[in-house]
This record gives sequence, structure tokens and C-alpha cells, in this order.
Amino acid sequence: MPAGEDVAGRLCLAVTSSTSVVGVAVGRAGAPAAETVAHEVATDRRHAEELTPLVARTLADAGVTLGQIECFAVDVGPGRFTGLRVGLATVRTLALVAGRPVVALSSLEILAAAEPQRPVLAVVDARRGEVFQQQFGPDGPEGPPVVGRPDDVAPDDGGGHPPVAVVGDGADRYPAWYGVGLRPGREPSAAVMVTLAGHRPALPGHLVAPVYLREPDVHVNVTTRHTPR
Amino acid sequence: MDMTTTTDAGPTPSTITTTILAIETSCDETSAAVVRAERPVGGPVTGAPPRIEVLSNVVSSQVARHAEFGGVVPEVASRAHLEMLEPVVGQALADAGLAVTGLGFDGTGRRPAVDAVAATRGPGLIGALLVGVSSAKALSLAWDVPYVGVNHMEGHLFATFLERPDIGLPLVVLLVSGGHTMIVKVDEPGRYRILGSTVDDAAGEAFDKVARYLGLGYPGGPIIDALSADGDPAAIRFPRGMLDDGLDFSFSGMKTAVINYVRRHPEATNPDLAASFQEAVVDVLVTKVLRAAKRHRAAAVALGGGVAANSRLRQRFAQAAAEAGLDHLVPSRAYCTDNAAMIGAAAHWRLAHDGATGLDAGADPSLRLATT
Ligand SMILES: Nc1ncnc2c1ncn2[C@@H]1O[C@H](COP(=O)(O)OP(=O)(O)O)[C@@H](O)[C@H]1O
Ligand SMILES: [Mg+2]
Repeated sequence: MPAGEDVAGRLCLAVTSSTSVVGVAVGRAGAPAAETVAHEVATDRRHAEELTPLVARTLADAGVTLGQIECFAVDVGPGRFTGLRVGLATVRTLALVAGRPVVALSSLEILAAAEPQRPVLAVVDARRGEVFQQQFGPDGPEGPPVVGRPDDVAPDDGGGHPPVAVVGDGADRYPAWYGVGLRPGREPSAAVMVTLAGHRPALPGHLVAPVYLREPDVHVNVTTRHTPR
Repeated sequence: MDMTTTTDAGPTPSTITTTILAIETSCDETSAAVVRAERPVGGPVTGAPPRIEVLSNVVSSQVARHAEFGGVVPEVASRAHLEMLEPVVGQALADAGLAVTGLGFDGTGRRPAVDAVAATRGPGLIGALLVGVSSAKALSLAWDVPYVGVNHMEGHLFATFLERPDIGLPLVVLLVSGGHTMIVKVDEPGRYRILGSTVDDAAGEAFDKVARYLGLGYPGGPIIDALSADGDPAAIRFPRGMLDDGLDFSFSGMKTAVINYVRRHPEATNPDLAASFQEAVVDVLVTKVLRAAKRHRAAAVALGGGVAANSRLRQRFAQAAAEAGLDHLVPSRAYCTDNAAMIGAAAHWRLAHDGATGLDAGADPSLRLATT
């Protein structure tokens, strides 16, 4: 992995599509979220339909062209696989054409960055009764992201370092496990991504890959003649 | 748009040359192609198929990734498309001589001389389709050129025009692949009628399932094709599903017949089983496409889809069409299996006929062929 480029202060286009919210923001990498131009759309399955027009609209509202964008930021998940690929395919293609680097941001760290309290637990709905989850303290992540059932991965009362705040659609979905400290209705914010991009390395787009955290579902069900002859 | 307008001397209408970058990610091949064609400026778009020049056609197959599962795994396919798409598109631009630098992108805002970007929008695997569609729409936005969403089945029909723009119309096409088996009448580009289709398994699916049962590997079609060379097509008389019954197909019973036969005759050899099964399928396919051509007074017949790569089908189809005195095309194998050149050909016609597709368009996994 190359070290990555510092893009602080450069004009950045950020995209998130890992949850049921598609968001796009334009601003100077590292600038506060309030200083960006940002739009978001709630959608269940229409990430691809929503994203391309939203990129065009956000650029127009910010009064810049794609050619003026100096770096990109993309939400690489974990989250919904199809949504992630729509975001990645879009941003990597734009970055390739522009010849500009991409900052990869995790959905969990974007969620955590929007919440001032620490420790904060970020929880993204993983479907099929599971969540993606990671806790962040004052100095950053406290361990890697995990995937599992809320009853297995949610912090229990006895545990060492309980979060004071809990954010994300996975926590919203399972309030019985994440009710204490829950800040409902939080989704990854593209405006927050622009801020984070000023503090993370940017890489060539083709090195930016989705974080699936789960192997593909494979159903093999075959009858065979056992002895080939 | 950056188009070249060529005006001939005299009162003849001017033509416009359109270069299209096309992307195909509907199933398990990641493909990109650059095609170029001329069309008249202004006036209605009518009748004659366009003459398409294929400048490049790059196909990256995922077969090896799916082989261990014995079939295409949708999530595996979608992940692989995201990994492969950019190199494949870059290679297609480079092969076409359109790369600005490197693989076609130099980041200076200069762009390859491409007038439109197309992608397959369905039918297919939704997660796979959306990778191609998202990337094509991003290119359209970045290069400020129209986007065209293409029906994959219309692409297969246009594969015929890539090699034979002059083929007789109406044309009857037998489309046989892993996901589809249908007979389509093409009155002219854009005017289609489905004359028959399968009531159960697709032909390619039947090949794959039989091969899987015999423990031959994946995908089964090419393996059965190769194995048949050493077998006797008359060794076993398998049933010919719905042979005397109209223009629809049924392959599920034929597959079951093979399984039942092997249970009763464990001594049967794989080459004989393969050759006899292949013969039964080809019998049905050839009989029905020629019946359709006769009933619907076709001027020509053609094959399309992955199963059209089958050597026995190609041979018997060509022979039967010639005997019936029909103009016919057995397409190159590269244009039978999924490829972006055929998507570009259909896109060229759709762009001229319907104009660009909006950037708010998505993909439709069960998209149907618009029929008249
Ligand atoms: N030589 C062959 N003989 C018979 N079937 C073949 C041959 N080559 C490929 N196929 C079959 O074609 C199918 C793949 O074709 P393709 O057009 O890619 O299908 P789809 O797009 O519907 O998946 C597979 O079912 C494969 O077994
Ligand atoms: Mg196909």
C-alpha cells in the first residue's frame, strides 16, 4: 500500500451510499461540515437511480464542475453490498477520469465522527438479523469492526468500557439491545466525510475497495453421478 | 457532443459518425467495447440495420471464480465486476486507439473521442448490472456525453447485424443461452415478436445441469460439446421435448431422462451420454427455428447466445437453413457469448431512435424485450 496523499484544503466530492441514505457533499477537505454543500436522499433500493443525479445537483449548487474537484471521498462500508458498489463504481470512475485520488472512509467512522461524545458505538444494519459494529474512544477506534447478532455483539451492562452514545441504523433497528445512549436517526453524512477527508490519506481510486466483512452467500445444491466414467 | 459531421458533395443528406463505449456486466462476463457507426442526420430512423465497426471488444470471464460452486453465484459475480470493470474499460479504450494516456484516462480533463456511453440495464443479476450502469453513468457525467441503457436481449439480436448488416428481413433468431431460450422474429431493428420460448429450463441450463450430474465440471455446455466428439449421437434415443408441439421448448424432461437413464444403465459412458443428449437438444432447436422461419415467412435465420457456440448446433443449423434455401448467419463465437460489442450496436440504434437515457435510470433484472 502506498503511503497516501494529504489532501487537506483541496476541493473534495464525497459520496455515501452504504445505508438507506444516499448523500453527496462538496467542500474543502478538512473544513467543518457546515461549510460544505450537501444533499441527501432516503431510498430503500434506488441507490443507482439517485446517486448520479445527486452528484450533478450538488456540483451545480456548489458552483463547481467535476474538472475542478481535486479529491474524492467514498464510504466503503460496511453496509449494503449493492449500495456500496454503486458508490464505489461511481466515485472510482469519476476519480479515474479526473486523475484525482480517493479517500476511503468507513461507514462506522463517519457515523462516529458526527457524534461528539466518547466512547461512541457505531452500529450499521447488516440485515439477516445481524449488525456491523465498532466502538470509538477519544483516540480513535477501540478494536476492529465486527459483524454479528445484536445479542452476541451488543455491549452488556457488566462490560469494561460501555459507550455513552450509540448511533446508526443497526442500533435503531434493535433498540432492545442498544437503547441506552441511543441517538436515533443517524446515517453516514457526506458533509462529515468532507471534514474527515482532510485527516486521512488519499489513494489512487483502484486501490479503494469495499469493506464487505462477510463472505458471499453461496448456495450449492447439486445431484451428481458420483463416478465419472 | 464531439461528433464528426461528414457532408458529401451534392444534395445527399449528411451523416454523423458516433463512437460508443459500451459496458456489459449482466452476468458473469465483464466486458467493454468501442463501436463506431454512421447514421443520417435528421429525419426518422428507419428500417435498415446500422453498419457497425467494432474498434475493440474486451471480455473478462469470471468462469473460474464460479466453477467451484457449479454455477454463477450472484454476489461473487457482483464483486468481481467491481474489481474488473476499470481495467476492462481501459483496455477497450486502448485497443480502440482512443486512450488519451495509459488506459484512457489522464486526469487533464481531456477525454477520449467517445460520443456516448452505454451499459446493459437488464435483464440479468441486479447487483452485477448496477456496477456497469453506475460506472457508465459516471462516465457520461464526467465526459458530458449521453448515456444509453440497453436491453441485453436486444443486444444479442444486434449481434447478428454486427456481422451481417445486410441480412434478409424479416429475420428469425434462435436465442439460446444459460438464462434464455427463445425464438424472436425481427421485422427490422426495434420491431420484435417472440414466437416461442422455453416453458422450463433454458437450453444452456440443461447442458450445465446434465454436465453437473455427470460430474463433468462447469460450465457444462462446452464440456459436453467437446466430449461428444468421442461419443455416438445415436447411442441413446433421448426424448425430444415438445418436438411436434408448436414453437415453445421444454428441456427439463430431457435432463431428467438422462438422469433416469444413467440410474438404469450405470455402464453408459459419458461420451455417449453427452453426444446423445446434445443430439436431442440440437434436434429440437433446429426443428423449431426452421419451423418458425417457415410459418412466419422469414427471409433469413440466425443464431445467438452462448449455446450458439455449440459445434453440433452450428453445423446442423447451417445445413438445415441451406437446405431450406434461407439466408442465414452462424455468428462468430465471440459474438454469441455475452460481449459489449453487441450492446454497443444496440445502443447506437437506440440512441438514434429514442435519444439518451436519463441519469436517473437504474437497472431492471427482469427487463423484457419490447415487442410489437
Ligand atoms: N459449446 C457449447 N455448447 C453448448 N452450450 C454452450 C457452449 N458454450 C457455452 N454454452 C452454454 O452457454 C451458456 C452461457 O451463455 P451466455 O450467453 O453467457 O448465457 P447467459 O448470459 O444467459 O448466462 C452456458 O449455459 C453454457 O453452458
Ligand atoms: Mg447472454
